[in-house]
Amino acid sequence: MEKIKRYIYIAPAVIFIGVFFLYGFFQGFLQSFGLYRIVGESSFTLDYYMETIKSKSFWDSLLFTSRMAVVSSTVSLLISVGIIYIIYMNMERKFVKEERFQKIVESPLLVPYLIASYLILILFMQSGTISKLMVALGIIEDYSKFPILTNDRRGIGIMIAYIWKTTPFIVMMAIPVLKRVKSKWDSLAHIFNVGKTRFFFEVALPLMGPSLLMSFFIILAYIFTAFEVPYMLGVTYPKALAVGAYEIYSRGSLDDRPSLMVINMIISFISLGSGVLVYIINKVFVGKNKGAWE
Amino acid sequence: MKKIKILYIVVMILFLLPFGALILESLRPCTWYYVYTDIKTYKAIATTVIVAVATLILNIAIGTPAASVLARREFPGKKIVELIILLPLIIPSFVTSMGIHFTFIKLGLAETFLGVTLIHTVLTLPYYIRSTVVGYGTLGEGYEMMGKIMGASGLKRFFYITLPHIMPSVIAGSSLVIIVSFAQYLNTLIIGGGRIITVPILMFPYISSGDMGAGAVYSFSYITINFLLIFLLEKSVKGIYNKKMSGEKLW
Repeated sequence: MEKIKRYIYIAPAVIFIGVFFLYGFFQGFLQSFGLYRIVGESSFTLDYYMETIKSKSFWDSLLFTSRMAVVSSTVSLLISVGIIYIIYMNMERKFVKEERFQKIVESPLLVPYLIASYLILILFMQSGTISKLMVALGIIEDYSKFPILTNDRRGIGIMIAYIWKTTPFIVMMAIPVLKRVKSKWDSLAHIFNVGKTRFFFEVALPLMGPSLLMSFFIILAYIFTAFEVPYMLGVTYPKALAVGAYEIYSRGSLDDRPSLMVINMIISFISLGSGVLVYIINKVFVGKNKGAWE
Repeated sequence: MKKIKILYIVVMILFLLPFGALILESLRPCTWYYVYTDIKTYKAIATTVIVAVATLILNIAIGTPAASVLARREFPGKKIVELIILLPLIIPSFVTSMGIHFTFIKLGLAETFLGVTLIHTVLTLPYYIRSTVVGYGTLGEGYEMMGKIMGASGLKRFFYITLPHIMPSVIAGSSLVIIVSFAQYLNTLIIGGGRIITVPILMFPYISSGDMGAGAVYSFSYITINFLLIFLLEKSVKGIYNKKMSGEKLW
């Protein structure tokens, strides 16, 4: 009885996700092979995959999305390490209130991506806040002299929005590790007279490595699949994969469905792959470093 | 060491800059008047709240029993169950929403409150379950057993023993559910088909064009509510913990 009860407790959640999530994914998967079509004949075909792989706009989108993902997450990672470093330097001497600083750095986490894009837009667009201030101060003559930083081909606005949103995430994930490293190894460092900076880069940073790496891949995977930021801050060409998929979808033609699902499947497999990677990093490194915590 | 202090201030300013721009741009009383005298604003707020609350109720009903088992029992297939519950966080949600849209049309769920609520529930369930698992993880079975020995019924045991203990993580999970549900744009648009107008859908045309008026007012209100929710959450969770720490022994 007790044994069956477990499955009864767990069943609603599994069935719910199965019916409303996995089934939707499975439908998309079948449709990408030309099966289970809404209109017309259904038969198994790889044509839609071939068509997508051969199209230039798909490769441009993939390249653009990859560049956004890699550049934004790398810059976020570097900035986070800098911020963690100054948080570490501040831990003992308390120049500033630590808690307030952390709250401020983590505040972008509470802003959804949609609104974060808007904030970056009004801050950096040609008639935006910075531009207005510069005109008022007489640094530039008028709005048109301000560089185009949003809805630009290079995706600068997109990257700024991502960096602003994701840096706090990396910092937030790493701070608990930093605190543990400090409480565990700080006294030893004192005994051996290791300087603070050296301790940070040679002891604390390597021990925070797995956490940083995991956050990095979580962000990378997220940006690959994200829709809101590039939709608001991007240009019509090249566009992010998710934006491309949405535009095909919103055209509403049922004939396009299989090609749409092909793009969706590619996006899903990229993020699934990153998920597996995060899992492996977690298993391998966290296990390996265990000695440092005991 | 003055350098570090200056760095601190520079970092803080950089992080606060976007908020600063928002505050500057939303200083227009007539836009506030326009937004808050428009009936559409209130309709959208009502829709958003109804969907979020319904999503939360479904989460509690479905997620709590699952979390209690996942936290404390081993059974064959547990790893698979955990993976299934994690999947909505890994596979982008719009992929499945687009996939299931046609089925929803056939079932009459597209463009309805229920359809949107179901999709929001799927997306928030992983957060709720993971958070509640943490709460159950620290609850020894002995406490419930004790209740059983002393003759408390199942419901009584849940409300007087289990619930007070897992409350902080249930509150944390619930606020995550509400925040994630509030923030949904694309999934609501796909399943709601432009019929179910939540706040993000209502404000999208304004903010996507970089509109400084209504866009700023909507964003300002949204962020304020989000911050307030988090503040209340922290306070209530801390309150519960403090109560436990100070004399008032729960067990």
